[in-house]
Amino acid sequence: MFIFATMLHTRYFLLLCISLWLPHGLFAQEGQVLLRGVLLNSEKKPVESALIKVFPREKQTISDENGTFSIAYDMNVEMAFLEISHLAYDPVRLPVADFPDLSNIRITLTEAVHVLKEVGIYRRNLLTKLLHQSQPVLMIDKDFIEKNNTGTFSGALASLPGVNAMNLGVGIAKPVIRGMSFNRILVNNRGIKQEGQQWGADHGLEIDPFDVESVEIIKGPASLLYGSDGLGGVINIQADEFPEANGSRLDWVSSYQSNNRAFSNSLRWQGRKDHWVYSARVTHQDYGDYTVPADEFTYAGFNLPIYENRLKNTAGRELHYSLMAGYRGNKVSSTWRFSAFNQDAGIFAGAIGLPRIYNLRHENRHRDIDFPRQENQHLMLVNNNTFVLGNHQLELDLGIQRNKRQELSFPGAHGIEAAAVNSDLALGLELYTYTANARYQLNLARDYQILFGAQFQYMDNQRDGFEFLLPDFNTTQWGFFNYHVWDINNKWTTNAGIRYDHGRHDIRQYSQPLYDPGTLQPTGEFEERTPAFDRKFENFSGGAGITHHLNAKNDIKLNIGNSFRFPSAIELSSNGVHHGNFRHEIGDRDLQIERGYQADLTFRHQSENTLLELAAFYAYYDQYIYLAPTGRFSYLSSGGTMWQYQQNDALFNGLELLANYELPFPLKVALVAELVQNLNLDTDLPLPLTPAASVLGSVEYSGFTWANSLLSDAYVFASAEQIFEQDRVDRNERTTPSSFIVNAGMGFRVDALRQALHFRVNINNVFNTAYFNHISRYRLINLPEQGRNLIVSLKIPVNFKNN
Amino acid sequence: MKKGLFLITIVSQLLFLSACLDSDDGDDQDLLSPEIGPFANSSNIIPEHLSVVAGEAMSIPLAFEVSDASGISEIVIESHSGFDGHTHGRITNTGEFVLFSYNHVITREALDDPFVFQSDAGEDPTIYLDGRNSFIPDGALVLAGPYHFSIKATDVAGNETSYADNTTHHGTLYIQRDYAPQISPVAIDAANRTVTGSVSSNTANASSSDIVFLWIYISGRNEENPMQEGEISEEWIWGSSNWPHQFRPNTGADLPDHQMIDLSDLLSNEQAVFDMQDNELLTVWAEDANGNISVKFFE
Repeated sequence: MFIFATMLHTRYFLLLCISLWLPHGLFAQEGQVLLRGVLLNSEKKPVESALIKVFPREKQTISDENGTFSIAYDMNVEMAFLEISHLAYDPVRLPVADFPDLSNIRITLTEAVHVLKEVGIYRRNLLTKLLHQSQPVLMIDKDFIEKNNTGTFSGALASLPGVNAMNLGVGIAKPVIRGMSFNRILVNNRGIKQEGQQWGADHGLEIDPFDVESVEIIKGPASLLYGSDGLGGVINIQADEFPEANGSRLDWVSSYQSNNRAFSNSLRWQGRKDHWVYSARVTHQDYGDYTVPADEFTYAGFNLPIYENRLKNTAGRELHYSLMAGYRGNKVSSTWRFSAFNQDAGIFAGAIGLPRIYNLRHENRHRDIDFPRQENQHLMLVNNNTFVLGNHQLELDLGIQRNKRQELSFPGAHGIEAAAVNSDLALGLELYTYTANARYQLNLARDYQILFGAQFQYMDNQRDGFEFLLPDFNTTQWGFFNYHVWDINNKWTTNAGIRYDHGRHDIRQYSQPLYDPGTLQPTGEFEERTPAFDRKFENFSGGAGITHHLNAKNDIKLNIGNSFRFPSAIELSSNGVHHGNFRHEIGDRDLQIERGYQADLTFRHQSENTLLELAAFYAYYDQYIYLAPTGRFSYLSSGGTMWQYQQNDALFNGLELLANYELPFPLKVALVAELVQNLNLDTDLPLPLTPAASVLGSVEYSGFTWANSLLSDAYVFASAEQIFEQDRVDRNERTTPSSFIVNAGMGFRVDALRQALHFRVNINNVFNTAYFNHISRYRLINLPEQGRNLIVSLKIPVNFKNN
Repeated sequence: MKKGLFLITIVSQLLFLSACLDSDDGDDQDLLSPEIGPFANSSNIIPEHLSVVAGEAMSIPLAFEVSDASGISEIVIESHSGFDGHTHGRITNTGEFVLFSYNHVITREALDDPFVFQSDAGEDPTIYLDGRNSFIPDGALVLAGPYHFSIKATDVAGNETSYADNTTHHGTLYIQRDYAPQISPVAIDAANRTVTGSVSSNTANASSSDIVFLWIYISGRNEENPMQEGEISEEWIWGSSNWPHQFRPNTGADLPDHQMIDLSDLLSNEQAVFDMQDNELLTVWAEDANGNISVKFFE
């Protein structure tokens, strides 16, 4: 399958590809010159501690207190440029050939405009560098995540256009991009596709929200470069940033949320000794039952109380940690990283089974985690390697993951006597995933790059518990791709790629013991829920495109791409009650590959004070897989009705607007709007769990120059979001009324004891508005979202310099 | 001019891509679930929420009607124990007693009229409390107690009734049995501060057993929704329950007796009993060693 993509490049990409011939210079040693210069800001003051790198050999240094730097440069390198980065300034990339005098380089840096920092920063990563040419890619940094932190990583992303969070209370959330979630969103964590049980609406993404430095969100199909599941988008969690100078530092972030009395603390130690880098982090979060702006909710004809406005059994505890060590040389870079995510989170007592008054009393034990609850653990060992081979580059990523998910509840609630199973583990799933990715980039000429890639993944899933939903299975997937990029001239770039994938599921047979409804005892008989079978899939895909760059301020990106997804094991073989959805879900072993074809048009204007990005997309999905009601009742205890996976064609389209403008006062105004809609071409109805359209406006004032002697980087902001009614709903899905939410906040930096302390205060849902989130699991039982929430956070960095 | 045309082209393309996705006949589709209502001239669906099945009754009366414009697909009548809130489990299993259970599916093929089903027509869905019910073995005795009951329906288009919007009929039935604990009427005389009433084991019935657990509580009544269970404002617990209840202690003070309990001894010193308001109920919940539960409400 071939696709044709028209792509527009950017000035950054042009700079990257311009070849250089050194006219002169000071020779540091044979074949090398010494580049010397000074960095200044707009007020002609020196910029200290900026990082200066020479590409492609990645030699680096930092500017001193006078803003000066010197760095050796290999004159034999054909393509070279300087990259200068600093937290407070916009990053720049400049061809070395543009400097008339390499011993007296003078560079003026532009103070970072924060609203612009959130998008469009181009990365060194091979894959995203290619995607940036034609697809909308949002880039957020740690500052953004900390500013929008509500306890989950997915929640922090939800304020971006086209991105939403599907949540179960406040501690469990998963990302939704352009209305797609579950296995259609690929989370690439430090080069490795994170694999958990992402098929469940009540299953969160197991990522420590504090352990993320920067993230790219690729909206739209990306499976040509990322493989199956990159159908709706990719969340690319970048490798950690490290200090360029020798030394180490501690960062402590502490926050408190008033709504659920959540305490979050994260401590990181990070350092460098010459080429060796290392870091360690531990995060602890403890939160109680969260409050909602309602003292009752209506369900099943009852007006049920919400005592003290707190939802019983929504408390949680989390403990995450990570260790990292590695070598970062000029030609070889290799890092090892181990991370552990551990979470225990309660589920609202009325969310499993029929809520009644007597099971909503909570006796003031707001931090207890009772039944039902989830216990989730995700362990991940990742090895990232980069080898510079002359002008070429090889990247190799290896990963091992273990995802353990346990859903606990009383056996009796499932028609089984407690003593018969002697366990509260209703559903246990343990998934091991082994991943290897390799990419080789050939820079044959300054205007021509070739990328070869290979991916391999093996998964082993084991089930446990007295309930059955998903059997044991093994999945193997591997694929190859080849991608070419050719810069025709300053205005036009072409690209082309081809990909082959192979997938295989080995599903194991499972028989569930039967229980007598009168005695709740096992009858000694078994029922086969899933037979043993295997499925193989093969897929060819490819693409070609052309990119046009308008001018320095305006880009038009047009991308026409395709994507694919192999049916997952749950879609092929499930057969049991999914209590997260109140229904009996059945797989279909004959499902075929799901394919998508998408056109994406983006207009982008970026000038000194303005950023405007308007994007629209239209997608056709062939054999889109979804759960459909059968109209029949389940024979299983508490099974509800039976829903079976089906596939039919579907359409998606939408519009996103991101506009930022900085007034001279200085006052920043921003507008984010999003709309996504879809249509199942078989039922002629929308698909379920589609986010409602919304418009978010915000103003931020940061002109506290009078306070600069005491406080730095002070800001205050207020935002208001209009979420429109979602009345485009699927069968058996209720509409969700509109809502209007106001948030506000402030922050500043205090320099104390030579350290910069960052302080933030946010108030979410200022007016304590009762509203529903259409894609929240608790929407099913008419529970409103979290009420007013005061979030106070303090970040204390401590730097230790070693010489 | 050229620039303007270009921008117009871009904006029009953006709007085209995001144009509304309207279905051809989505507005004409049936998105309504089947309607479950009273049968014929009845004012309510039978059994109602909080209905009592008397000690000697061996069947549960059933009267309802289901209708759907597109056509009914399935109707299910279901009942299971609600002894322990919603955990539905029990600590011990006792020989001759079984939990009452019922699950009857009426399929489209069994309907005389695919658009309307009436409970006295077509297939007979009478609910028995003995071996005539396929879920109860011959000779087994049904455990007395509160049972959850529901009637659900789907239509041929896939629409289904739900608890969330109260289109599923549901409620709690209190099945009384002669071998279960017997609760005599409770009378409260606030003026004289006396309580009369008792809980006893029906020793005349060979299947009766000792009383092992007693739970008495005061709860409010919702005047707007009188069928709704009220909030518990005060409760007292004696003995040890057979049924692990997630939302209530399962053990309390020692029972004064296992055959005959005089409620005067237990409640005469409880001020809350005499402070009961007109909109409050006193509930007596008694369990025996076999797991039978008797429940009675007193105003």
